[in-house]
Amino acid sequence: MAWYWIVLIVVAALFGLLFLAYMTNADMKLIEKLYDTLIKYHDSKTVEEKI
Amino acid sequence: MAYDPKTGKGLGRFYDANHRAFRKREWRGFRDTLYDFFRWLCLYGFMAVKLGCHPILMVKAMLRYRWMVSYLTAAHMVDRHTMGLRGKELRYAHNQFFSVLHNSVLGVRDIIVRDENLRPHSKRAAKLRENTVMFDEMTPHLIMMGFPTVKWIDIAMFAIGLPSEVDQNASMYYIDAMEHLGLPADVCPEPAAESGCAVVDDYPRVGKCYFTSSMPCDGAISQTNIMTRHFKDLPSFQITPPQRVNEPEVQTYAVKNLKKGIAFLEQQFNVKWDWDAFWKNAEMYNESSRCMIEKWDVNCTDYPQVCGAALALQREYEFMAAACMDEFMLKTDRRVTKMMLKGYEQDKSADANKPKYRCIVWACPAHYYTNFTYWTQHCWGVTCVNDMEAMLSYQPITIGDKDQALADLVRCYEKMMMRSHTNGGYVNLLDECWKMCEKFNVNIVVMYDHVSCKNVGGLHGLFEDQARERGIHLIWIPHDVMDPRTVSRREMREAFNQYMITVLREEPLDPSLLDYEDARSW
Amino acid sequence: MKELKHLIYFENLLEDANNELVRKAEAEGAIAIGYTCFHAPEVLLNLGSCFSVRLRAPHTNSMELATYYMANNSCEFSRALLERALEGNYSFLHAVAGVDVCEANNRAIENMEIMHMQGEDKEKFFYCNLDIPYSDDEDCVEHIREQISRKILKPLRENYGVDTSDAAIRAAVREHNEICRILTEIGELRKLDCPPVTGYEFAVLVLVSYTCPKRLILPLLQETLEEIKARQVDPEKNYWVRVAVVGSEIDDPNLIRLIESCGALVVADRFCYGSFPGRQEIVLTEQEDALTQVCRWYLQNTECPRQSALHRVKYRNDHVAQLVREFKADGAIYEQMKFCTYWSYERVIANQIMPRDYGIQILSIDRPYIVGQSGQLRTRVQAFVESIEMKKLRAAQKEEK
Repeated sequence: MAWYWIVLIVVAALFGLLFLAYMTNADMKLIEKLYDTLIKYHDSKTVEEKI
Repeated sequence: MAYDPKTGKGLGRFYDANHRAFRKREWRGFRDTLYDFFRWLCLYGFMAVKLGCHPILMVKAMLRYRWMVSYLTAAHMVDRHTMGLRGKELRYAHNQFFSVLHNSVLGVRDIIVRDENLRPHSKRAAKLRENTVMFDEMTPHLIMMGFPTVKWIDIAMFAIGLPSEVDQNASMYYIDAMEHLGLPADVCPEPAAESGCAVVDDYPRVGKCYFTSSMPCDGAISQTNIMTRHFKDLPSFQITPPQRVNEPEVQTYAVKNLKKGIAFLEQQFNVKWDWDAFWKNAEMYNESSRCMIEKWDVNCTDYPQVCGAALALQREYEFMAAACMDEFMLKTDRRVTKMMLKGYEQDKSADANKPKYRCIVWACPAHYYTNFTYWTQHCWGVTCVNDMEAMLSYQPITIGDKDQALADLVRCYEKMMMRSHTNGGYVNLLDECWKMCEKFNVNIVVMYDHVSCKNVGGLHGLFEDQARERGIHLIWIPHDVMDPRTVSRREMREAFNQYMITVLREEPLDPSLLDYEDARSW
Repeated sequence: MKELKHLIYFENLLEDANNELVRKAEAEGAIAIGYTCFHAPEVLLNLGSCFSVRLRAPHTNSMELATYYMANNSCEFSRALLERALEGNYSFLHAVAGVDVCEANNRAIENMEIMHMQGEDKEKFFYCNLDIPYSDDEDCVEHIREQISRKILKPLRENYGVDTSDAAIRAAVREHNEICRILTEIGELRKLDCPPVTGYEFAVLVLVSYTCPKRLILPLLQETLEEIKARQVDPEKNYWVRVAVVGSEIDDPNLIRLIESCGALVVADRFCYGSFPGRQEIVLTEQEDALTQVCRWYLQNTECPRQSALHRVKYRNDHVAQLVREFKADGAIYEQMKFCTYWSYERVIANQIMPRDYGIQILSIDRPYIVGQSGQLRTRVQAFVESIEMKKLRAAQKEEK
């Protein structure tokens, strides 16, 4: 198979995956998990409230 | 139209009560979906390029600062503002929002590379800090027009202002921190959150001095007490323009006050005010103001183009966050203006559908519901043609005359966001509202009823009385600016629904948007 | 102690803004100017035939109308004033010297202006909204001087023919200083272990000096001073602790009475409508015009938390510490009017700073405009008094050991 076909298939596959992620909102669903974890981490910190 | 009456599917189906993210993204037809997808790629691509090259610093920042976590949700912010939009409206919104996010991403990058909390031992970061001034929010960044070699970062904007608009849950922790120390809950959450961030030591340390102000209100003045204490090891300056801005006599004091601010910065950074740079930046400001006025002029017609948050937020950030000195934002302005004029001509010649209802938004908006006017548009057909907060400074700066230019500069920031209408007496808030109703040909005012605002609240009754006299529909929307626990987004929508149903006897255009739960959402 | 001869008369004067002495002065052709804020220089409202009336709203029960106009999150003091204005209680005034200092007060006066509170037939009536700067440097002095010249002195001259010359200002300052000397002399007696005047009585005296024509109240205050100086005090202390009261506007002496009914003696009044600031002599020199000196004095002596420059914050904290020391107070009560933004933050700072940095025990409260016999407040003050007593007891025991 010529190299440009391989490149085209890879790009198309990447495009398809990204479009799937975009339409299913997978990026924000992943970020939601990350966000919840990070907020939990911040909640667990002991913070002094001081003026 | 995003609502399909045959299937009953509307925009409400994307909200999930148990999750923060939307269920999925919208199919808007082939062209618009591809465009939206391209924009999504651009946003992530830009973030990856600018922030991805500092992976360790970004992780450290996420772990150090609670507010930094909210920036992860930037794409969601774009989604909730563009939801339901098609064609040129979609393109306006994407262009406008991308310019805001562009500026914000660069700001975040600037913070992490020079932050002493993240890089305490870095000589490079220390050198960067030596040439940076930290600004408070609602402070005239325009003053930096004459200091092209000095970097400035609005830390309160990045820590509190922006995150609260990206993520409705962002500020609650900081508000609570102040209330733990005894601050009554009736004060405005914005200065409370900004003070709370200082109290829990969550501000980045990115400069060698701190520049604050007395603007725009009592809460902001009080917050200054807390913030200057927090930065007590750094030199600080408080710029204090007069309140009664309509009086020409006060400008003498205002210019003197400005010169003191300039002298402070000159002394701190060992530089002189650069008039050449100032003229260049002033021209940029003038051009961006002209673009804004053109948008308003078009919105006065039967075919408004750039409406709602796309109009308001972009102008607010262009002025408040970028001080009209962002080349990318100006390029966007020019592009959007071109698109807008073309769109207007097209609509006019095709005698396109006019908005069902036209409204202006008045008073302090809810940070946690920046897309409220898009909701009113999609659910009820009420198009917001202008927003009080976006009607900020637009008077041009005189080029070439130094004294006049400084006087004009002072007038620019006296008329900054929130201040332009809440200061200067009732004529700026009350009388101006009716003038704008006439100018924009609206008979609905979405009146943001900020439950903690004593300033606008002080004229509550007169607004009611005078709206009744003029036959204007005043729809009060309660909110608590940065604390959705007081009045949730759902309650805000319900207030609007009640008015539309009981007074205007309307049926919703999209019933799925009438009532849904989005408390967990960003 | 034997009751003061004029106390009941003074209390009656405080029952109504348009009291007997105000009516008497107006009948003689004097001009009544209403004001609320320290930043409207009181002494400049007493030029020639003018006299100042610091506005209060005694016996306010309902604020429904004002709440409609100003919303229920507005400062209760401002709402109370608007309520009384709408009822016509201030129709005796010839002008209102307002200030754009705090939002609630500013809006209250704007409401009065828009709704023509003064009545339809008063052509010469004027409102003003002074633009008050946030600090006290010479640019600020110049600015406030311009404001006052244009917004107060000019209309007084043009509308009412009042003499606003340098000589007239100096004469007004002299009269003002006489009042201040009397009240300061009475106030100094509060430093004694068994003062011949209670905090409540002193609050009444200071309030009548704010709300009545100076010329007419002066002789009565002079008599009261002599009476207090000669007053027989009880041999035993009739209080447990001494406190300074610090905070926002207190125009109701019943709050002081409530505090004193809990075993505390109020020895210093660092609040709006109190003597600190407001009842200190203004010392003028011949080297500069009186107007500028008066403007400077008010800017430099204000204790409003609106002045947020660090040196002004320190000035206020230092002053409280100084008062606590000089008046031998055991602690300070920081009070604020409900919904006051400035004092909300000031209290938060004081809560932390005063015990930690100054070693001063404080009680921090917010309160409604009409205190009445508030059970909640009483409980808080009683607990504070007990805590100070316990601390003193422990310190005494430690010393014995």
